Amino acid sequence: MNKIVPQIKLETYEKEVFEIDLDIAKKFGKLVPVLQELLNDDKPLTIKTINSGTLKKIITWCTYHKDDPLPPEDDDNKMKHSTEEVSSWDDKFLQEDGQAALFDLISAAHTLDIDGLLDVACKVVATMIKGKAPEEIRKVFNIKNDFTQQEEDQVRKENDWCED
Amino acid sequence: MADIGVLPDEIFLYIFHFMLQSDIVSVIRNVCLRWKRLSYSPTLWRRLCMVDLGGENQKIMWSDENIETVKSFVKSLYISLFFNQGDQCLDKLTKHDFNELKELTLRDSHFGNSKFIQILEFLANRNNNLSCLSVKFGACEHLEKYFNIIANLRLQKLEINHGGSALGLRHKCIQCSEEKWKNCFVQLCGAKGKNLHNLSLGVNRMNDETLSSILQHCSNLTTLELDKTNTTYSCFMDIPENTNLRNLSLYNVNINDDTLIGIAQFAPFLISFSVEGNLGSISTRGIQKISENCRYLEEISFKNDHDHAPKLTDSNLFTIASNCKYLKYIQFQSLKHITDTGLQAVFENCSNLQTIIVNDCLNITDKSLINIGTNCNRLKSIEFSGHLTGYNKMTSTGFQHILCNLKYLDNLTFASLKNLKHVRLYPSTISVCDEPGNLLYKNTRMLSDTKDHENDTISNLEFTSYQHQKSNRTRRLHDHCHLKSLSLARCDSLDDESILQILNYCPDLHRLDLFNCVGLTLNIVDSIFDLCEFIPEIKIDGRIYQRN
Repeated sequence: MNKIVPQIKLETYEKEVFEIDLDIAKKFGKLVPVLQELLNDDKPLTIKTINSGTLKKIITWCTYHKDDPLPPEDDDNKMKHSTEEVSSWDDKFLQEDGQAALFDLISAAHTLDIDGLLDVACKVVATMIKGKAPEEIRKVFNIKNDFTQQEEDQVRKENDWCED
Repeated sequence: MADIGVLPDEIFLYIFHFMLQSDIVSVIRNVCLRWKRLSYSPTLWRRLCMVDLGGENQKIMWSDENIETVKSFVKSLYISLFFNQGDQCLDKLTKHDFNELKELTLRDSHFGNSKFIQILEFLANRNNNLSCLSVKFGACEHLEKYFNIIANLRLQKLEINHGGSALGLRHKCIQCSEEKWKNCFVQLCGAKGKNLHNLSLGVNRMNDETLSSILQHCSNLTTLELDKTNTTYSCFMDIPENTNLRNLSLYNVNINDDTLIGIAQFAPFLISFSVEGNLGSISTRGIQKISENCRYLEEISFKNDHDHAPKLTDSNLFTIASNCKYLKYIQFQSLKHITDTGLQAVFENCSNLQTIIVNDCLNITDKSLINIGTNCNRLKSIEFSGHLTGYNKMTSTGFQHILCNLKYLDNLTFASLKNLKHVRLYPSTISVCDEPGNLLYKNTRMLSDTKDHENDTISNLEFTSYQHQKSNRTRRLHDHCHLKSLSLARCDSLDDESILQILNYCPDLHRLDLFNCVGLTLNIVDSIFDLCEFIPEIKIDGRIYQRN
C-alpha cells in the first residue's frame, strides 16, 4: 500500500536536506502553518541553528511519538507534571548521546516548537540536577562559580535563618 | 560543544519548574549568578502554581528574602504551631502581605493563642482573598470569642477539628459549653454565612439545636462533614430541604432509620453520602427512603464499627441497586449479613462503578470477584480487606479473574486474604514468549478451569482478533494489565512464585505492598525490581526495601 505522503523539506546547518512526512512535522507547533505553505515549494526551509545529527534525532522522536494523544490544555494539569513521568524509552533516547547532544536537542525542540519533546528533555535535565549540591551541579554541567567571596558569605547567612 | 549555558533563560525556567521549591531556594540559587537571577523570576514562581512554604526546608522557605520573592504567589499555607518556628511563621504572616492567600491551615494551634487572633484580625481587615480556613488539632477553649472575627472573613470553607480523644485533647474542649457553641454558629451563620459552601466540624460539644441552626442559616452549604458531635441527627426531619447539599459525611455516629429518612427529605440532591459508626439501628425503612429520594447518589459509604451488629442484608443492597443507577463509588464495612447475591445486584445494575471497597464482610466469596470481572469493566479501584479476621473464602480463582478481565484497573488491594495461594497467570509449561498465538493462549487459559488443559488449540478467530489489535506501540496495552498500585498485605499463603507470576503480568506497577506476607522470602526483592521498573520501594516482611 503505497500512498503518497506530503513531505516538507528542511535544510540543516550542514546544508543537508531532510524530507519529513507532514504527519510527523505536525508536532512542530507554531511552525506547522509555515511548513504547510511551503509544501508545494521545491526549495527547502533552512534552519541554520540545527545540525543534521540533531534533526535526525528529532525525526526519530517524532516518529516514535506520532500517535501520542495531545496533552491536556488544562493549565492546572500541566503544572502537576513531575519528573517521574519520563518513559524509559525517552530517558534512554535523550541521554544516549551525552550532555552536549541533549542541549542541542533542547535548543532545536525550542526552535521547532515541539512541546512534547521539550517537556521530556527538560524533565531529564531537572532529574540530573535534583539531589545535588551546588558544587556538584557546577562540576556536572561545567559551570563556572562566578560568585564573589562576599556573595557566598551572604548566601550562607540567609540560609541560617532561625537556626537554633 | 554545546554546554548548558547555551540554553535560553526561558528553557532554564522551564527546567527549574520541575524542581522542588526548596531546592530552587537553597540549591539553584547558589550555583552561579545567572541561576541566582533566574531563581527570583516571577514567571518561575507563577508556574510553580502552589507555593509550598512547608516541608523539610521550612527555614529557608520562610526566610525574609524568599518571602519577598514568593509572597504574591502563595495561595495556600500550612503552618504547624507545634514547633517554635510555627510561631515565627505566624509573625511573618502579619508582617508580609500575602495578598493571594486563599487557604490557611493551622495545625496544633490554639484558639487562645494571641497570635492566632492577631492573624485572623489582620486577614479580616485586609479584605483578603482568604476563602478556606482549617484549624486542625487545636484546642478550642475560647472559640466563641473569635467567631465574630471568623464571621468577618466571608469564608467559603471552614474546618475545625480539635483532634479528639485520640490525642488526649478532648478535655480541653469542655470549657466550650453547648450554649457557647450555639452562639458561635449564630454569629458565623448570619448574613455572611451565606458564603459558606463547605463546613467540616469535629467537635464534641455540639447538640441538635446548634446543628439545626447551622443547617437553617447556611443554606448554601454543598459539603457538610461532622465528626464526634453530641447530636443525634434527629433535626434533619424538622427543617426545610436544602437543594444545594451534595456531600454529607457523618463520622462516629449512632443513627437510626429516622435519621436516614430525615436526611433523604432534607437533601434530595445528595451525590455523596457516607456514614461511619454504629449502624446497628439502620434497616430496610431507612435504606428504602434514602435510595428512593436521593436518586443522584454517586458515592455511598456505610462503615459499621465491628463491635455493633448490623442489620443490613442483601435485600437492602437490592433496593440500592435498583434505585441508584449512577453509583460510581461504594464502600461497605463490617456488614456481616451481606453476601455475593446482594453485591451481584449492585455490580449488575450500576454500570458506572469505578471504585468498590468491601472490607470485613466475611461472607463474600470468589463469586463476587468473578462477578466484578464480568460486569464492571469501568472499574478503577478495588479493595477487599479483612482487617479483623481475614477473608477466607476468596482464592486465586477470583483474583486471577479480576486481573485478567479488568485490564484498566489502577488500584487493587486484597489485604488478609488467607487463602490466596498458587496464583498462576501463565501455565507453567510455557515460559515468556513473544509469539502472538502463545500470548493469547496464556490469556484464554487463565480463564478456563486449570484442570482441563489437554486440548489447547487457538481458534483462528481468536488469532485474527489478536493480530488485528497488534501494532508495535500498542502491544503492551493488550498483553498486560495496567495496574499501578497493588497491595497484598497479610496474605499469608502467597509464595514467591505467585508474586513473580503476578508481577510478570503487571509491568506498570508503581506501588507494591507485601507487608507481612509470611510465605514470601526476601529472595524475590531483586526480581521484583527487575520486573517492574517503576517501583521505587517495596514493603515486605515488615520492612521497606528501596531500589538499590
